Amino acid sequence: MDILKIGDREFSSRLLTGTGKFRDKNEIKPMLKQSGSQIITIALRRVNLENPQDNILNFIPKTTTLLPNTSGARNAQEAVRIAHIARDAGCGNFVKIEVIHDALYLMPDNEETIKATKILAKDGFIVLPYISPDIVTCKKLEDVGASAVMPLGSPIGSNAGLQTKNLLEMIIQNSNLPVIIDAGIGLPSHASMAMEMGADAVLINTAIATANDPISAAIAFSLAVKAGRMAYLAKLENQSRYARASSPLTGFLNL
Amino acid sequence: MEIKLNGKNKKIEKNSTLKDLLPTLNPDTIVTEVNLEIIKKDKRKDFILKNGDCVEIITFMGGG
Repeated sequence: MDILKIGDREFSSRLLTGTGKFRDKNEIKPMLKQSGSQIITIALRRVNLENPQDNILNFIPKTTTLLPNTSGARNAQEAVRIAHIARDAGCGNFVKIEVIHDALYLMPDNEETIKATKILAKDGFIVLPYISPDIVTCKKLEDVGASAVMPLGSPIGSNAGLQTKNLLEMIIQNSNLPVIIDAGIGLPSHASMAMEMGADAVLINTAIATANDPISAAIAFSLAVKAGRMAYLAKLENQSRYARASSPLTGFLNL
Repeated sequence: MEIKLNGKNKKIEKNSTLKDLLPTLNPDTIVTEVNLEIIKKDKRKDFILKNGDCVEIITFMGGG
């Protein structure tokens, strides 16, 4: 059995999903069921006191592992605070660190993310930091106790695919932690490519949630992740500039 | 007296508890924080607010 291990937990699915941007939150449950995704992200926000909305937790099956993100945090301290609120609210000890103050590209602050990871890992959290793809940052995160790294493929919600491919490859080939490609994956082929490269998992929110049919989209991504993973494990041969004959080059018929 | 509730000033009666602030909210689906300290659900009814307290009422939403 091909198991993904994050912290002390084991998962059979390598597709992580998110709860943002769904037009109908009732689609989250069948989306999880049909895609097999076992980990889903959620966010924390102030209650709108004039118009309270339904808590997103009401739409997620209890068997799903919750991955609260620290979106809204602009520095390590705020991320730590949000992580503690999520854990106190009974969301378990997984946390996706997200420290962002760049409004245009939503690029994460790797330096603050390392600081927050160090504090939270010491506090017993299973920390999954969202980062700009940088191998040095990944090594530092490993040293301070991260349980996985989540480098981005392209900016959040952009659907632009693996624009950072070469940097992701460096990380995948050298990381001792699971590598989860997060952000920017817009097509099943992007997800397949990430898995073929040897990523341990992918996180997909926008592409599924904003699809005309999110449930079918989630199934498509799930199949793509499985195909890419299987291809990686099968160790396909590398590309070549020149042809490599697939039929024997001897014993031609004399015509 | 006055407190800060989710970033906005709000006038409340003296000796109001944290629970008094939340009459219409489902107590199980929110997190309450006073001056950056999390106040657990079962402590809200006895938690008396002071002038200038900074109260945050937080819930879970969709996010990636």
